[in-house]
Amino acid sequence: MSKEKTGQRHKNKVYFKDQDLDLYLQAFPLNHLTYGGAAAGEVIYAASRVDEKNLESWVEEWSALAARLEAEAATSLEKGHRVSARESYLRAFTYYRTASLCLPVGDPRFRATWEMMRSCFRRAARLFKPPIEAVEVPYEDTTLPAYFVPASEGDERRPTAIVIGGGEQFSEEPYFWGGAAAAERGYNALLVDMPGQGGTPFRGMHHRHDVEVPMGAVLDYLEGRPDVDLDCVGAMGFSLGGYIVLRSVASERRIGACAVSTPIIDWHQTLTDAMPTMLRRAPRPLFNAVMRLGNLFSKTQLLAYEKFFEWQVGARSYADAMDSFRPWKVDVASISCPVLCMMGTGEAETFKRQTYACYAALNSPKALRVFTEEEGADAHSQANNQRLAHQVIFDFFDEMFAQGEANPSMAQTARRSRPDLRVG
Amino acid sequence: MTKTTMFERSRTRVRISNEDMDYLFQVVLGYHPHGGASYGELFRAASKVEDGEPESWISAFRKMGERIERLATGLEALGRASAAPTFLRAFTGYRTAAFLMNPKTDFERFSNTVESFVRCFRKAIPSFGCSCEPVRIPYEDNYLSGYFYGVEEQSAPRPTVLIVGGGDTYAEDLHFWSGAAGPGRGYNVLSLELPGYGLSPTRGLYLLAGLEAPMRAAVDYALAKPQVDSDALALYSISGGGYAVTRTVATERRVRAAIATTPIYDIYQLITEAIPAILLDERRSGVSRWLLEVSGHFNKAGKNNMDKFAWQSGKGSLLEAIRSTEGEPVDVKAIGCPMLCLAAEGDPPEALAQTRYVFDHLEHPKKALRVLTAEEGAEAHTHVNNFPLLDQVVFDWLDETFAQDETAQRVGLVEGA
Repeated sequence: MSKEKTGQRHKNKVYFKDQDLDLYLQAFPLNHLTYGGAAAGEVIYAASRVDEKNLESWVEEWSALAARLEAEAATSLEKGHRVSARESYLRAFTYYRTASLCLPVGDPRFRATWEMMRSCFRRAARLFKPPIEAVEVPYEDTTLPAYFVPASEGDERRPTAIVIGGGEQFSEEPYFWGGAAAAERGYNALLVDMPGQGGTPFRGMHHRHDVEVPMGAVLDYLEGRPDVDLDCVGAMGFSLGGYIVLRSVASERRIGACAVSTPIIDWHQTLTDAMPTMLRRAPRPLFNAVMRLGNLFSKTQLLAYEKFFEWQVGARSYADAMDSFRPWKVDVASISCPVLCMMGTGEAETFKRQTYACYAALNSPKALRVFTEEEGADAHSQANNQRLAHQVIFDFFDEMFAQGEANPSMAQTARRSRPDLRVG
Repeated sequence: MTKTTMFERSRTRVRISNEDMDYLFQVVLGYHPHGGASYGELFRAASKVEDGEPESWISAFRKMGERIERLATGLEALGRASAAPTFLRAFTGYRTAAFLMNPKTDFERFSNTVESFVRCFRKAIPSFGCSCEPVRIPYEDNYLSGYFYGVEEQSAPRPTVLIVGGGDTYAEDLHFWSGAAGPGRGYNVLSLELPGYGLSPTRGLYLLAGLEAPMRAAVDYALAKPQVDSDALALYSISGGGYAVTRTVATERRVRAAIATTPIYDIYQLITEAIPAILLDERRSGVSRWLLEVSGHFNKAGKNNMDKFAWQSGKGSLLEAIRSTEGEPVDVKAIGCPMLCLAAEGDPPEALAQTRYVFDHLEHPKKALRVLTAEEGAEAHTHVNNFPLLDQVVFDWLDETFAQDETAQRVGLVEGA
């Protein structure tokens, strides 16, 4: 058996004995504390009522909390308390999202919960000043669901960050992973689901390896907006988003700089590394059977795999899905924009290996930032320290865009050495 | 031997089994909403804490403060906008360490840590997204510290909240209770350290029960500000500040609304209820000293708190400090403005009882009572575990109270309209 843990993405558990539930608690509600998407007491209360042996209790507790907050938000809005309504809707979003983590995609409650969480986020979005816009990005003969977070009112052209979440994320979540931070720093943000992400499988879309195609559509969309400074478009990607962003910038030249945590340059390899050795060598029927029987995996992992492999990837079997990942590779040498490679010391080895490999192979301006346990930022995607991650990412963008002197206001800040980064 | 707890403050255990420390940890988790924390940093520091050992707590959180301040200082030297928000998390590290420091036995380290968090807090101000300035409110021949948070783009005077904390509260802490939230909701906020709070004992100011004078000084100061709507000044308190607010609005007619979590009309009663009777019996002072030591031994965090209380009172002992709070209870019937009585389910029974008493005896027609619960995730003392809900309850009530006044005055229902 391999020593590598399938789901290892952080070392320190904070609440639950179960590694997966603890990860969910950290990466979703606790993470969302940072930008107003959760309240500590509500999170702890719901968590304290969850019976770890019974995933249904997870769904019930978080759904109940979400429904309460949603009702509370509606009451606030009715009485004209717009700030209170916005804050409650934002928290209701997080709690519905958290509930959905333990629902099988085949369960009718999965879609219902998705619709409620999206509706809560959209209601909150309208109450921001200026409002966050729910937009559809034209893509092939359909559209990609997205949100545009304006840094401020008016049509002045501003630097813009495209924020791409991980494989399991919905386009609302990157608000907490970069959207809110962007607006605080004078950047617009575009939060978007690539095909296969978020609710796009409900539209019949599935993951594709050549993500530069949908990313091109995103850039086309930004070109059509009056408030985007096209010389200062950055992209940030977390988890699988790291692959999506890196793969895109290998050919998409309109992105001026990118930050990825972690750089994933070979997705097939990532998944193979994460599998027990015996499974890697198993013939296809056995492979499929083992994945389904799931003795090797926890219930939560199985739910996540089923959702990703079957629903998002659209594969008929796990073996087919694995085959479809073979072309998910990044030609790192063709990347020409500056790249910030980020990883945490608590991540699985496969992520670390690819981070170093990517950093070594990059020919463009590059930086490597390893987040440590001492900094409280060792988790996958820096889920446990978003503030620190955002400081590092946006400082990098500021510097890269100032260097090109594309943005006069930023060019005033001279580029100096960065003691906290290994800069190549 | 059972362990003593200073106050029951929360029912949900987060991480640390010592109740005082656990409460404090929930405090800092609560600091997330306005950029004061990243939970990875807090859990990292907490993982170094040996349960019930203040020294390990102090060391872990001071290190956190120092590390983040070094990072922030580096960013500041580079002229980065990220420096300011980073300083706020350095503040949280030092501030958390200071909770369990003992100014009586280790004054130098205590004052050094307080100065560190004040310094970091002030450097964080540019990240607040509203105007904020440290103020010194003239008081006798001395001053009281605080911050004035102003609503941006102010064209007319705005309603204003004057907030006071308890004996353990620094003006900087109040950033998280309403300072940061007020301007976004259309309110100016003036935070205030009463005599004996913060570092004021070092300039000869001590805790006192007669709070009319300092509160009058603060109200004078607020009303003299052109940004402040003199018809819409509210007093707001958390923890022990509930006594200052309840007492002030019984006589001060310039205040148009009051909020307290919790209201306190008899501070001596509240304190003595929380402390075993034997400790208050003078004839047994030898025994009580021994007991203090014993309980201190079993709960060092509690011992430091008791020493700190004596230091803030300018008294040699806890007993003297407690006795100095004895006085006439507030005449609740004399309160002349709308009042929102708040409490947390996890508050001590005596605090809950006084909240109920104040609400029941208020004669002003606009009064409200709300006890925030564990189910709402807001049952901890002063609701540190749910600032968003607290903001909602407080500011929505203020919106309605002040708006109702306007409506009432327009239709001539209120005296003086």
